[in-house]
Amino acid sequence: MISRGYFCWLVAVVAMVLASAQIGLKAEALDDELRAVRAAQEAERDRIRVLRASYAHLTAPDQLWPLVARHLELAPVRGDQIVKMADLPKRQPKLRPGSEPRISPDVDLSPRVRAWPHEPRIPPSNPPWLKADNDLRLQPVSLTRQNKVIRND
Amino acid sequence: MTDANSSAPLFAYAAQAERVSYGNFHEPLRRPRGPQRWRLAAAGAIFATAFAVVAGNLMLNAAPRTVSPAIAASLPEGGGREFTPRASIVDRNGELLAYSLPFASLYANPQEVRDATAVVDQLQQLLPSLDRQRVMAALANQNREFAYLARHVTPSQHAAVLDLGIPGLYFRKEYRRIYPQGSLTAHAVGVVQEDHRDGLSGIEAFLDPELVSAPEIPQDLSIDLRVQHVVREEVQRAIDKFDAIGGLGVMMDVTTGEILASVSLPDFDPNRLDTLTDESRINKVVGGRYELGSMFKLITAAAALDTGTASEVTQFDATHSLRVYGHRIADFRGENRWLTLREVLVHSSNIGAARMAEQVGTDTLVGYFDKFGLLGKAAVELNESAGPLLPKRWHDINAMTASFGHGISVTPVQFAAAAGALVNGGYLRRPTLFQMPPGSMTESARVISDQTSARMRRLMRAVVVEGSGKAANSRFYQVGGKTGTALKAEAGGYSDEKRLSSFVGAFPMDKPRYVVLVTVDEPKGRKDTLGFATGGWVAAPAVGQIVDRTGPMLGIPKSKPGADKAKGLQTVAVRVER
Repeated sequence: MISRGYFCWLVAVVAMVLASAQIGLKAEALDDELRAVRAAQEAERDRIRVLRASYAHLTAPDQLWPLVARHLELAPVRGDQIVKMADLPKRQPKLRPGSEPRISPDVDLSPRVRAWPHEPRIPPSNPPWLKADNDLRLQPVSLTRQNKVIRND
Repeated sequence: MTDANSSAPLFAYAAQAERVSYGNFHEPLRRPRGPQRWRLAAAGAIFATAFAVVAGNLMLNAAPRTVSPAIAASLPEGGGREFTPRASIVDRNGELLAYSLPFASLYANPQEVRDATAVVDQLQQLLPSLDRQRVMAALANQNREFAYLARHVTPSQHAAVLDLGIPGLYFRKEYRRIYPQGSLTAHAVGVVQEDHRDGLSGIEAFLDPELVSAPEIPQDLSIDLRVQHVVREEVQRAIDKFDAIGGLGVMMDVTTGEILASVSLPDFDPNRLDTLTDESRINKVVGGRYELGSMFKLITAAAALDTGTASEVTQFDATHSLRVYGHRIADFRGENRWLTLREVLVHSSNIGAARMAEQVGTDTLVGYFDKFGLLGKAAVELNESAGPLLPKRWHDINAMTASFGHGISVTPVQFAAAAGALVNGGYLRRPTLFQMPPGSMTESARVISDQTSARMRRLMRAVVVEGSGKAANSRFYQVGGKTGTALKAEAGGYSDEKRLSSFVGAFPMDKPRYVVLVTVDEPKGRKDTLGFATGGWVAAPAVGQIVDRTGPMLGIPKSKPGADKAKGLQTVAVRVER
């Protein structure tokens, strides 16, 4: 008769062998999958390498400059086109036509305006795209950038 | 009773037999002794070993199977660097200059190829450049299992050969170095051997170990591809215009030591090493040693000003040619009068420079040559960097002729660095081909005072405004510089016709940032230059064009009118001192 302890050991050993075999098979399958993924990754990397080299070759100055000269009406930037921000003239903000302030006829601002001892001025803290009218009301004005009107209101 | 008595021994026997046959499992095991004990230990060891093997296999199966690049790189012949990419080399804006691309290489196992002639016939239709005789010989050698048939075939050729389905033919992936910019950066970047092995020249050779060991880290050069293109185009234009045999151009940032452009012409296509000739092989910027002529007067003047030997208005006798130790020193177009130091530079007087050297003293002048890095090898990161050619002993006559650039040959990159020190406040920066981190610079040493540097800026500006370098003036930037025309040394003396025409310029002169040096080799005079082919006619216009075109690329705003006056660069009325 086989004792219970020996039987348990036998079962454990068989189970371990089966488990290790299964782990081995799983690892092999994963290894194959990993190799396939790596091969695909490597192939993709190679394709990217070729594309990058082709792009670099096609955009090389020796390639581009003759094409630009032949097909485009562009010229290289000149030295007098490079300016510092400090050299730019200050832009005079303008009101858009039809965007004049609408003041309710019920509001009488004249006493307050009269109370000012001097000519009202634009407070220096105002951002440049806001302009104050004589009533010290800040008016949004349009900014033109690249032929596109950006409306603040 | 009898039966009962007779059965007793039977049971006793059965019980004994059972004990003998199967053992008594309910009794505790006796401790094994003697040989039995050793047998058990041996069996245990065998089982333990077997389990260890199983566990080890399990771990090996689970672990990834890769070969490290370092191991792959160290493999012997036929299994090395061609299988791993080298690190890419890029310019300061990330544009690719050198790159490793995977290619398929066709090889055969001659033992598996049945009809070699038919195979070669089929392959030759797809691979026209196939060397038939070599391939036939390779396939005929039945002792080998490997023979290259064609290296680095195109993807379409690869697919076409696969479609043939010829047994015994195989492909393997190999890397090949390609240079997308072609000849534009051939000398600075260099080349590698055709099988992607060792770097042969340029950065490829200098950085060979790093490029192989860290293929994922691109190496950033200080070269700016746009600037390199402009410099090459302008130098080539000067070469073509004056029917010269070659030329060079170098542009350096005087605040950091970075070289933005390094051009040596004629050049070659690094993708096709068969275009390499003896003349195009030399990187003239770092490997060529030239007598640069009158540009050396700048160093002489700086030494005179820095030592206090002379001021800008000190006068030197240039009324007639100078005879020293049997040698005659004369001017190209003599003014035949006393000249101030400033006029010596503006009119490029050899006599004046020699007189200046005489006053400064041979030892002091040579000491300044040394301080400006002209007596040693430029420490630029290229193996082909050469040292100067100097007189064996510095006699007075050697110093006097060297004061105007004769009898001393230096590399252009050395002189560009020295010119940078003249205008950047007096610091000699080590020229480098690698991009410096923002806010940093290469090692530097003070060679002249800040005040001397300011005076030199003023003098260099005067040369362009009213002297021999007028053609270097830019439409938008204030340029300062100095022309140089040197007769080429030949066996037994100097040639009467072959010359080297140069110009070294700096811009913008109110706050110099870049130095440009252009040299044209053996230019010939033209009708529209009145037969002249001097530095002022040949190289100065090229520098002016380079400044005009590269300034905006580098974000340099146009020089303001009067900026030179604000910085004390204006040409002043000369006070005569006798």
